[in-house]
Amino acid sequence: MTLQVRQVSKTYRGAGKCVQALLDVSLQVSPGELLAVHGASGSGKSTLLLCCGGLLMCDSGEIIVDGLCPYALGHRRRTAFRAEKVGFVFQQFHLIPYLNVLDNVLAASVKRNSPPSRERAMNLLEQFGMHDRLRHFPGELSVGERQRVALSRAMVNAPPLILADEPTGNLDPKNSRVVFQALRDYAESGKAVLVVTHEDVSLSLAHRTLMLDRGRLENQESRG
Amino acid sequence: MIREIFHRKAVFIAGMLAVALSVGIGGGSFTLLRVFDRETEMILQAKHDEVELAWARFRDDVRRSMLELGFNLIIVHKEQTLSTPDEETRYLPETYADTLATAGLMTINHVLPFLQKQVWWEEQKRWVTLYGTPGEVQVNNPARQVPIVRSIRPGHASLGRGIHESLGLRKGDRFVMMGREFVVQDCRLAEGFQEDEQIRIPLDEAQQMLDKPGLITGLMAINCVCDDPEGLAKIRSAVSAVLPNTHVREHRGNMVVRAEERSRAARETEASLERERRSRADLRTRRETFNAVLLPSVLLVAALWLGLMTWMNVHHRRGEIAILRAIGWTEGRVFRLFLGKAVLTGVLGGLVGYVGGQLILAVHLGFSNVQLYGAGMLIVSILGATMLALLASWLPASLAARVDPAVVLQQE
Repeated sequence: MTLQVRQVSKTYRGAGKCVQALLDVSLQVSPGELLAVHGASGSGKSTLLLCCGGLLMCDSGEIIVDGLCPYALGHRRRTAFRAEKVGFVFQQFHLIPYLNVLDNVLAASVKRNSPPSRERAMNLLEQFGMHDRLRHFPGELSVGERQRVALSRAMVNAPPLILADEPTGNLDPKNSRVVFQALRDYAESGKAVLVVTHEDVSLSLAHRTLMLDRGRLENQESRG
Repeated sequence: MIREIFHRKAVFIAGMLAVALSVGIGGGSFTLLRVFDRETEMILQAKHDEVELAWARFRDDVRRSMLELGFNLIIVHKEQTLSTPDEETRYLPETYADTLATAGLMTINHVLPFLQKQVWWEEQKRWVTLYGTPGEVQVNNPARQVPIVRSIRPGHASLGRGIHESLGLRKGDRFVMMGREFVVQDCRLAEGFQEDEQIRIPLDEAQQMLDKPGLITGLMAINCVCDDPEGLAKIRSAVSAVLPNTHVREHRGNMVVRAEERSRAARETEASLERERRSRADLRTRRETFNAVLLPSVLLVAALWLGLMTWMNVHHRRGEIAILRAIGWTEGRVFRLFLGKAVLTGVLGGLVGYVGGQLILAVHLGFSNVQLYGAGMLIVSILGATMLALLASWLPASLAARVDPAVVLQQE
C-alpha cells in the first residue's frame, strides 16, 4: 500500500470549544489507484489530507506513506519526506506570484537546478498544454491553466502519493475534467492519488470513493 | 529572491531607504566630525604659526637689540646699589660725562648724565622722582650717531605718564614744584614703572633744587654698539678704565621695551591658541555627545522600521511560505530566504546611504572633504548596514521559518 490510514482521530481544541475533525478514520490507497473522499464542507476532508501529507499530526492512529510514518521522523526528515514522497494540489493553486510557470514547477523540485528536473518539468508542462506559457506569470494565466501548473508542480518529483484538496473547486466542468483525468492518468502510472472533493462530477473518474461525514467515513464504493 | 524583490519593489525600497538614511546620517556625522577636526587642525595650525611668528619677532628684536642696536648702559658709583637709601646716595662728578664722551670709545654713541632723587612734592602732596639731565653730551666718536635724546629747555619739564595723567597736565601747561614754576615741554607715553613717575628738568635746575652742584647720580650710555656676544664685557672694561670707581650695569632701553611688548604679544597669541584649542575641544565634545544620542536613535528607528517592513513582508507571504514548507522547503531555507533579502537590503542601503550622504556633504562642504574616509568608510558602511538589516530582520525571519503550513493552508 502507498497510503495506509489506521484509526486516525483529530480534534481541534481552542477557546473552550472542541471540534472533532476526524474520528477513527481508516483507509488505504494502493499504487495505481485514485481514491476520492467526498463530503460537505467542514466534514474533515482537508484535515484528513493534511494529516496524510505529514503537515498535521493526528491525535491518535497511524499514517504510513510508502512504508514511512511521517510523524515518527524528525523535523528535517519529515520535510524531506514531504518533498520526496508527497505532491500537493490545492483548490487555491498557491502558485508563487513572482515566479514564472517553469520556475513555479521547479520550486518544488528536489534537485531544481539539475537538467533532468528541468526536463521533467518542461515535459509535464508540455503534457498539460503549457509549453508556450513557460515564461508567463500566474497572474497572466486562466484559472484552469493555473491548476495545470499546480498539477505539474505536484508531479515534478514523481512522488508515490499525490494529495489533492478540492482541485477542481474553482474550475469549470471542462477544466475539472482535464484535471481529474490528469490525476487519474498519474495514478494509473503506478502511483497513488487521494482527492478530497465535494463535487459529484469529479467522482465519476475516481477508482473508488469514500464519504466523510462529520469526521467519520460513512460508506465505500468502487468504480471502474 | 531577486524576483520577489522586484515583485514587491515598494516594500524593498522603503526598507532600503531606512537603512540608507541611517547610514547616510551615521556616515555623515562621522564625516562632519572629521571635517571639524580638519578645520580645527587648520585653525590651530594658523594660530600656531602666529605664535611662531610672534616669537620669531621677539627673538629678532632681542637679536637686533643685542647685536645691532646695542645696549643701554647705566654707569653709577661702584658702591651705589638699588637698595641704597636716598640720603646715602653716592654721586659722581658731572665732569665724568665729558670724560666718557671724549674718551674715544668706539662702542659709546650717546652719553646722558643725570641726577635723580625721589622727592616729596609738597604742592601736589605726593612723591615723585625728580630727574635732571642736560641732554646728550656730544661724543667724540668718528662713527657718531644722530642724537636720540632731546634736551629740556630751561624752566621746562618733561612729565612721565603717571604724573601728567593723574594731574591732567598737557603740553604748555604750567605747574609749581618746590616753589619753582615749570612749563610742560612734553608729556611722555608709557615707558615703565619708574620712568612714568619721573619729572625731567634741566640738570642745573635739578642740582639747585636738590643742592647737589656739580654732581650727578650717573650716566646713561644709550645704544652702545655691541657686535659680538662678548660686547658687554668689553664695554664694561673700557668704561671702568676711563671712569674710576664706577660700576656699569645694563639698563633696559626702547628695544628691550619693544622686545617685552613682542614677548607679551607672543604670550597672548599663545594664550589665544590655548583658548581656541579648548574651545574647539569643547565644541567637539558637544558634537560627539550629540552624535552619541543621534546615531543610536537613528539606528533604532531604522531597525524598527526595517523589522516592521520584514514582518509585514512575512505576513503578506504567509500563504507562499506555507506552500513552500508544504512542498519540502526546510525552516532553515525559509529563514535564509528572508535573511538573504536582509543582506541585500543592507548592502544596497549601505551603498546608497554612503554615496548619497557623501554627495550631499560634498555639495555643502566641497568635494575635497568627501574623500576623507574613502574605501574604508564604504566597507564599514556596507558591513554596518548589513549587520543592522540582519539584526532587524532576524526575528521576522524566525517567525517566517516557524509558519505552520497546516494552519495557514486550512485558513486559506
